[in-house]
Amino acid sequence: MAVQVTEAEWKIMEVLWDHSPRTMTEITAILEPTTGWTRHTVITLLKRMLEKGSISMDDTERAKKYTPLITREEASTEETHKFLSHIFKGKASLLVNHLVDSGDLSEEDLQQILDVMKDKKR
Amino acid sequence: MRSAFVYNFLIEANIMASIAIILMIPLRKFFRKQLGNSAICFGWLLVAIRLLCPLSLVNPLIHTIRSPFAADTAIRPIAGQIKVRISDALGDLSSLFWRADNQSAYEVTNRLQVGMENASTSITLAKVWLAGVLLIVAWFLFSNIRFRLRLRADRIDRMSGELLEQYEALCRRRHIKPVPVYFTDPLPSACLVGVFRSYIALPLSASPQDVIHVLTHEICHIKNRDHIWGILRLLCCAVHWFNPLVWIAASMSRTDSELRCDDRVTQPMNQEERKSYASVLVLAAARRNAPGLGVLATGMTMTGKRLKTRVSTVMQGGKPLRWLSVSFAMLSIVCLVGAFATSETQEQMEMGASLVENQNLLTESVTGTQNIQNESDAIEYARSIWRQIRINRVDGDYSAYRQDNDDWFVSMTVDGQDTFSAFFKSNGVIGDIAQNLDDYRWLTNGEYVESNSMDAQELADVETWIADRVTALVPGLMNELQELHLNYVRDVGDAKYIFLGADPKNSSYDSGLSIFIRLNEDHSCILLELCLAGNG
Repeated sequence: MAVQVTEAEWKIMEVLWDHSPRTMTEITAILEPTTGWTRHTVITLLKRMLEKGSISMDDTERAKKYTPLITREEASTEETHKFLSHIFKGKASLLVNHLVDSGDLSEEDLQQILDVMKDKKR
Repeated sequence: MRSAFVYNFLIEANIMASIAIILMIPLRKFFRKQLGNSAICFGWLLVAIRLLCPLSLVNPLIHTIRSPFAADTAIRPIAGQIKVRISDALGDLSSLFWRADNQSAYEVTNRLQVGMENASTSITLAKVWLAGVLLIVAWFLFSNIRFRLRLRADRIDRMSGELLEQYEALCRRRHIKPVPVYFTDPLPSACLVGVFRSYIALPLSASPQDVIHVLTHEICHIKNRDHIWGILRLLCCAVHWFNPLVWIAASMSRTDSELRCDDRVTQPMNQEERKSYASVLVLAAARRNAPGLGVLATGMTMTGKRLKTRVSTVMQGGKPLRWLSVSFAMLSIVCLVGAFATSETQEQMEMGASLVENQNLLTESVTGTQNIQNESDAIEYARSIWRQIRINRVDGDYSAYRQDNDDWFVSMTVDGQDTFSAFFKSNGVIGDIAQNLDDYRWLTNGEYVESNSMDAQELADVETWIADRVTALVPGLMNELQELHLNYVRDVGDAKYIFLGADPKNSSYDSGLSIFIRLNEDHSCILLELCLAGNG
């Protein structure tokens, strides 16, 4: 079953995807300026993410180190499904239509989408 | 709790409140800016008071709308009018179904109409209402407990450090006692949770720049007592669960509470600060998730047209017209007092009561020997009556209902079909007894011959039979009546259906006796209906 990553947990995952393994202190130091999170907040989140299985912990050394167990692509896919089902009732075509109509997709983006679809068909 | 009390309260509260809700809708839409959100919320408070208070003030004019067909003073005039209208509508419907030969629909509507007149339908409806209230309350409790447990499970950390200092300073500036603030994840939107030990749940993902705006909004909810408002809304929806306008009003008042909160938040802000606050509202809307109506928690999120109203109100600022707001509030209070004025004066009630007594005066003229105290007494007595008029009939399922004036109505069904009904006083004096024919269609389809005449001996035999039967059922009554007279005789196949009446000797009585029997080919008689109570 896909692991659900909350908005707050996503921030921690981003730090770990950038570089891992990391200690709790390192994660807090990176996130505190932008989020205002304390150590206690980060510890609570890491504990929850361990229970959910989105990260693993290595406690062989003095400072525990954390590594992501899901890739950015896996987490992104799950979030996209959630977004689609919430906003566009599960229909990717509606999202593409919306993006095209709003001008958010360039010619290059459209070509890339078409190339991906061709690859899928093969 | 007597059904009349519930009936009066629900009818009056819903009629008055529904009118008020319908008036509030255009007021909010077209005069929000001029009236102000506080005045609109005050209007909702008065609607809630009408919905929740079972109060009734004396109105010297209300007796003018009392229906003559609703003389029971336990039912107030407004509720009495509704009762009569529903009873008439059911009567019209049952006639329609009868003519359309839809037997099952006819039986249902006829049973409902009879139930309206003898209060059994009202009692059943009161039970349905109470069941609905309990279900809704259970659902609210479940929703709130589930919401609180989920929030508790997702709680990450209590606010601390520099942010806590800023929050406490904000509370001091706004003269509000701070409540605990917990970062929660996941949480789509900040909310003030609970009523007695409130706290603020803040999304962990909220950016530090937005947190103060969000906290300002939530503490203004405390200042506005919006957490107590939440309970009022839930109570109104629970008690009046059957009225969709009440649910609509609850949703609208919740929106108006949010807008009033925005007013309080933005009142000391300059234009730049308002813009910043409006951005926070828009970002919150992107999450599109606020606690449901059944949950005792505020939610900052609004979407669609309501968000548009909200953002434009925040950006425009401006004050309402004070004189208009005050006038609206005063007029609303006057209307509320008027909405509670639904009772007659004592004098009018006594006049009404004497009318009720007059209708049953003939039954008061005979002495009853029973002392029927409860449903099983009533059923046992009804069985004894039944045995007297049709001994060989198999016992069926009995239901007994006590009327508001302590008279009893008992019905018996066999295989789900109404077979026999009896209406009598608690001293056993019979007002009306009736048994259903297997097939009444001949009555409306004209499949009979109106002979209107009987052989003299045959008539004499029938009158003797009736006198014996009436004496057995209502001892002493024959002495109060003049001679029986024949109203009609209808020949249906080999049987005759005979309707007779007798006027009371004392002309001050409201009505006499009417009796409907079937005379079979073998000259045996079956009593179909005996009526003393003015109806039948």
